[in-house]
Amino acid sequence: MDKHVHKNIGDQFRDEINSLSQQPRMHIWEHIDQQLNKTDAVNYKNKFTRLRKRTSLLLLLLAGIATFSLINFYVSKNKTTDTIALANVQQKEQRNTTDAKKENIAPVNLHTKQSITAGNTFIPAVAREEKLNNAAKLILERKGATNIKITKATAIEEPINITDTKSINKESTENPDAAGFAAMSEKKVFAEKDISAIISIKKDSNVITQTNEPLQKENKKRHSSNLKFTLTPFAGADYSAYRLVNDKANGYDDKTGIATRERSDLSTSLGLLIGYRTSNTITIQSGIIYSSSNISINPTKIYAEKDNTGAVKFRYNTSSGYGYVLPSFSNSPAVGDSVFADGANHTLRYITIPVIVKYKLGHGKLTFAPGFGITLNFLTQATLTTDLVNQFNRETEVISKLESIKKFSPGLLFTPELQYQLSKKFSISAMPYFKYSLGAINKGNVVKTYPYTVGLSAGFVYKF
Amino acid sequence: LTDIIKDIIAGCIAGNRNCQSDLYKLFSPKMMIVCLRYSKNLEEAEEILQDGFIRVFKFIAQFKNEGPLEGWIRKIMVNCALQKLRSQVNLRPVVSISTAIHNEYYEDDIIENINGKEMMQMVQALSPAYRMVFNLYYFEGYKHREIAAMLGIEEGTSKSNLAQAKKNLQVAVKKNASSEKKVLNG
Repeated sequence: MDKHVHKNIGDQFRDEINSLSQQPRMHIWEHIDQQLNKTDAVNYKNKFTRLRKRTSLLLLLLAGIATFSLINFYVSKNKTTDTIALANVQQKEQRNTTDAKKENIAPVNLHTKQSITAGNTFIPAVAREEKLNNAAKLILERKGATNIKITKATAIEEPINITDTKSINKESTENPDAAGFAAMSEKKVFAEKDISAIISIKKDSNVITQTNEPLQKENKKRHSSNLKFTLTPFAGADYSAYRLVNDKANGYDDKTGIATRERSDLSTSLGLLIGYRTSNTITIQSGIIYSSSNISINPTKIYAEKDNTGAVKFRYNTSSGYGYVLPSFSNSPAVGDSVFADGANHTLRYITIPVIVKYKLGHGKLTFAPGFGITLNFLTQATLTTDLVNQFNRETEVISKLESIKKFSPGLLFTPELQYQLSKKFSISAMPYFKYSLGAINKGNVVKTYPYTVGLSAGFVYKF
Repeated sequence: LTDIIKDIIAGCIAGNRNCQSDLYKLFSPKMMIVCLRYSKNLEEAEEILQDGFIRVFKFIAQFKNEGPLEGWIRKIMVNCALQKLRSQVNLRPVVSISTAIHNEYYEDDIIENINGKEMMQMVQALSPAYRMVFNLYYFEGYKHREIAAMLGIEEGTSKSNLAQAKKNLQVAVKKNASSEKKVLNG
């Protein structure tokens, strides 16, 4: 070999070129600066959007908790007031009976907010404390009359809180003439809701009777509202999408590629929810939801690399995870070999257990109940079906094991339910819903994926 | 890492534009050469440089102070160049391995007359596939297996592309030398 011939051309080129340096033209930095400004603006916008979303969710959650607490507080307060009132009324009843026996007058038996009773018969409870005193006084003032008819009386809104029973007893015994009670009832007894009531007081039997049809209806309603549980089977269609975040440094931008390739298709959900009504307006629901999300993937080239076992296979990356595939026409590829995947269908199936708190708004047949809750999502199946193609072959491959996808992920759910009552026990409901994953559904994939779903479902509600 | 570079990195992480500018000024001349090696002309190199620095600023928080910053930035530039090339050309073999030229030697004094800029032009004149393999092998120090994995080609293809790249460079060097002779004789 010639003495001058020794050094590899590549090494010589490397040594020479590596010693060079060249200042880029000025406008390059200007372009970079502009690009960075744009990126900053987008980042600020995204941050603001994220902050706004989180704040809205938090406010919604707080509002739900506050409403729930407030309602619970009032319910317990009312119960306490009713209990005290009932105790007072019972005491008064006893005294009244004793006094009536002594003075031979009709005893007035006062019960809860719905009724005043004399003997075993109910009078509509229509008075606040002071007005009730007057009414009772007047009734007793009619001592000697055979019948009293009240053509108009009212139902009350608030519980009767009878604390001064002495005044009733005292007045009732001191003023036995009850003339003009009907008129008094019409004028003085507050009249928020008119009801037809007929009260008759019979002197001989010492009984005050009444018939009150609206009240009976009210009682029926109350009876139906005693149905504490609901069962809601439903089916829905939804659209799933996701937010992608790059999970790799060093400049790989797989997020863009995946986002460009994948397209969400219409998905379906089926479920059964059991609800428990804790108060007139609050219902807690839970149950089971089965959902299937479908994603179509555009044709792409996939490359061979070593899998976890060391075997060289073609790797297919998706937004949720990656899988390996080995077609029969290329069953011993070298690392870096490629094959064309002619489109793919990616399916994710989840079993979801939601816990939802719903607040009912409105009365009557049509009600609106916005609900907010958390979801526990369990992955049951993740498959990818694709056609691998080379110059002479086409083979359909199913990847049933996707790596890096988490088996469990928590999420949030918002559902403003619209319900129409068909009968006492049956309703139909329309439930739009929005589900959002609290964390990424994968770990160790080329991208982190935060899915969200917008959907509409319809179902029946059975109360029991 | 020196304290100055550490400060610059911290500033870049915080989004400080002055620090980003300092980092650019510090490394852009070297990186420009890297980008020129992977591209066919100045415009393409500047495009890669621009994309590369934007990624550097985007991912700089993920730089762990375990190695030189220059190496990390260079890797990003190479990845950008790779990505650009993937979108542009097919890296399938142009020649089969059996036809590859293995004559790697030539006379030193011929090449001694060629300066770095001329060498750069010769590299840029290579076809994209040859240029990429040549750069990855000689400048980045990757093995053929690794190059094959990165480019999505077979190992044999990588070898044949490298051999062909070197042959083309030899031809270019000789051509350069003969043209210089003509100039001198003329």
